[in-house]
Amino acid sequence: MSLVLIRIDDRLIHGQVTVGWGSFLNPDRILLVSDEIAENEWEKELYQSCVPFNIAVSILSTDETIRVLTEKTFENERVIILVESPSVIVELVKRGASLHQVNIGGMHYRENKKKILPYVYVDEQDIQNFYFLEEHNIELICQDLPQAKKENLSELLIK
Amino acid sequence: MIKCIVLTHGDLGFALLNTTEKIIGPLEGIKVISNELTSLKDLITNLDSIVKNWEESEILIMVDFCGGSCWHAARVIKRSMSNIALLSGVNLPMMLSFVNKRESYKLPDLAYYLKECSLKGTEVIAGEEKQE
Repeated sequence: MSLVLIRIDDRLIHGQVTVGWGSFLNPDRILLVSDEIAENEWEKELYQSCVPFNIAVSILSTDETIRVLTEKTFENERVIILVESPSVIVELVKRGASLHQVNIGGMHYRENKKKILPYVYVDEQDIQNFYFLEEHNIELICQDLPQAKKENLSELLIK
Repeated sequence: MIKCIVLTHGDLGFALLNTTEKIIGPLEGIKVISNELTSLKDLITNLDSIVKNWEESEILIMVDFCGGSCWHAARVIKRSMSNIALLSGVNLPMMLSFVNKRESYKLPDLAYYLKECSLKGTEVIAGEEKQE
């Protein structure tokens, strides 16, 4: 599989991803990684119903994701990986996933979180997770839509 | 009287309500929510607080399009509530018909009626028109 986008977005499957990035990247599949959703049939179906018919969807736990990343599953497919928060990416990396770049597309307002962009708010735990990913040579790029300006997260955190 | 939540991306819902009021006059029992800069969880929480306040009423949630975070949040809220109906593709013909019929219809009939109004309110004129 070729990973065309690895994205942190707390709305998970929504218009910006299916329409915005979908028409730009032409993915064959969206792989949503969430232990919580993967075990809830109703929620799984709901997320699946939000994806246009020409894109396949897989909703997998972290364990299952590690398996499909190491085996030759979804061969020849262009895949978007979607997660809710940086902690999921950290988990994948700790379990041996080899990732090079992560897109931060939506971490919306929460109480006690610091604003670094209109669509990116972080707390201390998020920052620690981002530092962990940087130490593993993963580039962290904030960009909500393909036409939007790319911003380097590390530079924004220093400000 | 059926209450209504207009749930959309950006300013669309506010503009729809505003335009409807310009045509018909001031309205009650209609709330607008935008997903602008809001996480899915917060969107669900916002929706939930309105629905809780209106638990004695029938509520129609009109969403801009099927498949986005608005639709998702509406599906989560509707799940177990029999006093709520969802309708996607909200537009001006639907808004105007909603206001006209919200007292004479019940749910879900009103939702089906509005869907029909939306289809009938969409015309295509193409090709050459007959010259007199």
